[in-house]
Amino acid sequence: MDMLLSVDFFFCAAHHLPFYDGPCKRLHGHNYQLRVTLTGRPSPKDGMIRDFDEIKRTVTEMVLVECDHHNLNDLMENPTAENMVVWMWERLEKHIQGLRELQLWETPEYCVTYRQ
Amino acid sequence: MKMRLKVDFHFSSAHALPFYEGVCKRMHGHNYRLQVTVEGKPNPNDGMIRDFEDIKQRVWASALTAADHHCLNDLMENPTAENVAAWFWEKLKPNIEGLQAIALWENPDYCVTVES
Repeated sequence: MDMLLSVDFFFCAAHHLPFYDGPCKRLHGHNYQLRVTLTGRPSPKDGMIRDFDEIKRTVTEMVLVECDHHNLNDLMENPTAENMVVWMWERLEKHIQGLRELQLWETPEYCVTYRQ
Repeated sequence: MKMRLKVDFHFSSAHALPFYEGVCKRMHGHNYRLQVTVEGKPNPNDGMIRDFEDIKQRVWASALTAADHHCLNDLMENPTAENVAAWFWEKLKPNIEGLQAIALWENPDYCVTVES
């Protein structure tokens, strides 16, 4: 039976939106939450789809080291939540088999979801 | 009977800690939470210590407008939670009668409190 498996991450970053007409144009920052979801079938041997720790290491190495406690404008010109989640997808899709969905929260209320 | 009345605020800011040895030295940011506590006795006429809306307006006008969606290093050299909380206290004390405490969270786990 196919199941979904998710791992959550938290990081702190600064950003500003150069093309936004409002306060987000100024340098500010957020406590971001990233949720990485993949799909698969539990292995009959170990009963797992994937080792949670393996996902944690991959996401930390491929994405979080460049985002956490950084200014996201050093990664791209216009780091909206939408652009960030696409950037993350491109870095993760080759390394996480069965990657299904990324969700990125800028605040507990504002979230973008990217699926393929 | 004395009571305490609390109003919560949320704001997003960037900061860097120039004297910190570690990741906080880099420009990053947070979703901050500020809690303002006022102490007093309910007025027999209207049953209120203070109008919540009045506190909200005063906190925004005297402090939050300068902090929200800004880089806190524009306000001070070393914007630790402690120094930002002290800055809020100085801004709010003359404007909010009965101010008893302020609490400042950088994230849901890390909080600094200033009390009178």
